[in-house]
Amino acid sequence: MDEDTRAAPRGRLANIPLLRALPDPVVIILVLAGFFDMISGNPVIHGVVLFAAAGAIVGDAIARRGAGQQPRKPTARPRTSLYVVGIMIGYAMVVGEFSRYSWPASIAVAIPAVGAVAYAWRTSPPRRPEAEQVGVFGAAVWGSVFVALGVWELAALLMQPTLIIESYAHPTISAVMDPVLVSHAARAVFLLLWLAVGWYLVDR
Amino acid sequence: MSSHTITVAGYLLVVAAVAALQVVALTHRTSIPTLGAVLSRLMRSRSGRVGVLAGWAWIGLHFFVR
Repeated sequence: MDEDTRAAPRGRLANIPLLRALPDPVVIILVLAGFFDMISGNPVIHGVVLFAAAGAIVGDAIARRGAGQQPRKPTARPRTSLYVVGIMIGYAMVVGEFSRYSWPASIAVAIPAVGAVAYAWRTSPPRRPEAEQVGVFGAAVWGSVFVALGVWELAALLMQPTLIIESYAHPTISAVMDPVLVSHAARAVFLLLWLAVGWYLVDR
Repeated sequence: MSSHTITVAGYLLVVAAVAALQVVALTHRTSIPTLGAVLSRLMRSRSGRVGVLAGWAWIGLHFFVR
């Protein structure tokens, strides 16, 4: 069965109006993240990216409901090679030289970020047997860890003097990372990890 | 122990929990899946794929883009 049809409510559940009207949990998470990002004084574009992704998902769901669901074949995935690893390392070393929030850094980071999201939008994942074995308990265990992280981060944000002034006593993850990312080496390592995680996710 | 230490310890605890769950999933016969399996499951739908990649993209933007 196509991955997009698997995501939709099936059988009798699909006929319950309330369930059909419930927003996708991914959309709720993106909207909440975008909201808290915006009220915490970050550049508007950061929140806009999350809202745009949420809006695109909703728009796509509405369009599919009208047009019907077409089966899609899994897309061939990019292969990891020494060539790719070399490009990632080179990218991290070069972009790590740029000051954070400078235009060169902004453009260099935005390109793979936008490219990966666009790629995710256009492609279908391969069948992975391990994905079929994820039960409710296992998903709940992992979900609870990330919810705990979100709650802890939110608590730190709300315990700042104001939402846009960082607190040493209650640092958010950003506040913890700021002094770390001062050095070129740390920025290069961070960017390399970020890029590697993105590559891994694109391959999921 | 200061509030700063407690807050940072909370983040480290989450990192440790992720590592511990991954080790348990890889080394024991348990109903806890690996993080990779959970991500694969989550990313089977278009909304899941776009949501996860948007979250990843946001991390890069948050720390580097003006």
